Amino acid sequence: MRWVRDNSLSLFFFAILLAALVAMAFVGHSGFNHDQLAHSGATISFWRYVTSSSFAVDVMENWQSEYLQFTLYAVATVWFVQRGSSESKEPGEEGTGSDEEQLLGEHTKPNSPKWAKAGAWRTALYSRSMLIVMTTIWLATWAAQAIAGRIDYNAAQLDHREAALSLWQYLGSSDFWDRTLQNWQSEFLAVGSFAVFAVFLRQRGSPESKPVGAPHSTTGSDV
Amino acid sequence: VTSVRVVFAIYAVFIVAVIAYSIVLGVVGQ
Repeated sequence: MRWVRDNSLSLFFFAILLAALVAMAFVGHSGFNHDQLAHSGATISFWRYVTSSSFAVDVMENWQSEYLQFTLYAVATVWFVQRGSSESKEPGEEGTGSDEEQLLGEHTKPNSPKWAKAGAWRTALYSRSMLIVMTTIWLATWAAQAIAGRIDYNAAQLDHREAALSLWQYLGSSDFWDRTLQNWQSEFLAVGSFAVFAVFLRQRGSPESKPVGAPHSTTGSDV
Repeated sequence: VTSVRVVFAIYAVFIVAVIAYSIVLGVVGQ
């Protein structure tokens, strides 16, 4: 089927996303109930678990860090370079580029996006649309992490006969920042190391890599 | 491009739905 083939990359990742999410719900439910039994608490049904803040916060804390990672990558690669990396522009090319390079103004093509041709605020907005949308999703998922995380945290607090926190108090808690930073650190490592590995390592056939025979000194993926 | 818009929409709807779902669970204190 043509449609499946044309979209195989996005569909593949969506399929493994759903599979991982379902598997996460099953093992998360099992872990939750183990913990309940260890604390002499009542076990809950699978459905109750997937409609719990406990499940929601675990999903959201990972989502927010992924969106932060990609947002930062998209913006950092405008201004920072890594000599020799397929993920980077050449040193000296830092910045947002000329209208000629960006196919804007008199350089637009007949099939350029409508808002790229529109000029003024619409082109300014469209020029940053990736950053705007990715940042919005990052902030929304981070907020969802805080809102659901507080409920999950308070459930444990009440279980231990300790005080529940307000959302504001939870935002300053070690639980919130532990969940946040444990995800951030791994994302930053993965991106940083990938940018450097891409100087010396190759994956034949991948657009994320330089051609296998490209010299280490070549920066960028188009050789 | 039309076929790609469908995949774009699937992702967009899924992302917004899961975020909204998580926020609602937290807000109602589930």
